[in-house]
Amino acid sequence: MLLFRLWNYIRGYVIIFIEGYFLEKFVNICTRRQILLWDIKRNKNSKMTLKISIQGFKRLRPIAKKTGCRVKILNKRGLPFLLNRYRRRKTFLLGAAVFIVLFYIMTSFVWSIEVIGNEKIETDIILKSLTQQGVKPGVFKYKINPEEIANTIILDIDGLSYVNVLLKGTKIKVEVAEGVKRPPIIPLNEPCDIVAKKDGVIKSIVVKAGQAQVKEGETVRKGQLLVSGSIPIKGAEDSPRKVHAMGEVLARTWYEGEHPVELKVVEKVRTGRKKDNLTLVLFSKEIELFHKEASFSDFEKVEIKKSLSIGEELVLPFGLTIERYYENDSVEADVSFEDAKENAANIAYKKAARNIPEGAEVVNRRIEFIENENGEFVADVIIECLEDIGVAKENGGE
Amino acid sequence: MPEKRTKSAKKRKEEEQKINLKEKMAELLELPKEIVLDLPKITMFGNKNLIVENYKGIIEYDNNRIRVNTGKGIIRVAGDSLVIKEITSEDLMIDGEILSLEFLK
Repeated sequence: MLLFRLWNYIRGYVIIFIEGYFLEKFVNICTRRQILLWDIKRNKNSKMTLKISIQGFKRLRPIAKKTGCRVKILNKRGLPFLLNRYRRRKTFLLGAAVFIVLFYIMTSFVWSIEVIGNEKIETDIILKSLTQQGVKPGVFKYKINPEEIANTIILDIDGLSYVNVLLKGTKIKVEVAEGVKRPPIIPLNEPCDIVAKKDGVIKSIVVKAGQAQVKEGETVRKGQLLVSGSIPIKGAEDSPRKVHAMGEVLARTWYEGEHPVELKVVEKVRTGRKKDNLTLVLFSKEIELFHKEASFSDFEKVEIKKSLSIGEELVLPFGLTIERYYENDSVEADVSFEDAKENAANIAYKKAARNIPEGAEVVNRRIEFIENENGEFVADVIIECLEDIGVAKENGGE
Repeated sequence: MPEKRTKSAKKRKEEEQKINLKEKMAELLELPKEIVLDLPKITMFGNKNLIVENYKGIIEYDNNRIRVNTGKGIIRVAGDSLVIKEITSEDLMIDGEILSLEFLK
């Protein structure tokens, strides 16, 4: 029945009122002439309302004349009448068409680029690489080949282990994963030495190939030869045998970080006063709206970017950038000596730990508070690690 | 006149025999009877809805009474707030509260 009603709605129908003495005859003639009638309701004697399709209604006049009935249209329903109403409104139709075309054109460009997954490598570097390949906001999206771009980026930028370029709507999503930078690998059949990559005290040295040049407990400097790849042969000192030196050189290394103990902490508190500067972004043009410099002496600037988008993917090239200035008030607070020491130690520890490479084992940590000549304390953190400091280096020998 | 009457009676008898034969044939071959014998097919859903297929035309239509002409007499439907939901040359659908259904010769 739903389908029937839907079909009738699409075809269009009229609700008519019929008045006459031979209504049964009227209905019979209609059915015989294949005119579909439905929802026939008898109101009173000699009056009824019914629904009839547009085509049927056009053939109704002779029947009404024959049976002596008066026909009146009560209501017109359906799609044809609805469309008819809008037929006259040419500007409206034109506007709708222009909208659809414009929408299609607008959505076939790239309007925003998102880079996710990068921690050490700056987004700008990746964006720059994209720009070099001609991928930037405003570029025609069907020209872009995501796979090719991903391949070029991964070759272009060091330290990326995975790049995926996704084209979604008007947005380009660049997903990256960073890998650890690897030293250049020397093929096994080429001779090389092992040298120290940083200062340290040798804890143990295990040589698989080559000749050890240092002993346990010895202090080595960066670049010092640890395992030599050239083994002298007795009797022929001038032409030693060259091998690919291999071995593990564990050494104690130290990492240091310091931070002054601050007894007074300046805290910035927002006063609640703020000022907004609006910038309208159209395509790649920026239009500043009534910009005024904030008159605060101390402020914090927050940039909020809003762009018009349909759903998550379809970003349109219109946006608004709000530069919000919050007025700040500096409040000095006293901190107890113990708390200050702890804070300073924490920061110093973080500074020291930043340089510890992966794979190093932390053996010992020491925190000292040193008083300098001005009477101020400085937290000094030394972390002792155990790590392999050997790195292969070509010795240039044949 | 009496001669004529006997003639018509004879004719009717012949016709009846013909129908009997048709009925038997339909039964034998399992053909739909409403087509072979030109009978109305009536479907009812409770007392709310009534569909008459293979009808000739409507004789009377009112809120509480509808009379439908078929090849084999007249069907009289009595009820409350009867509405012809749909009408085509083959079938007729009546909605409303049906109280009785009668066959009149």
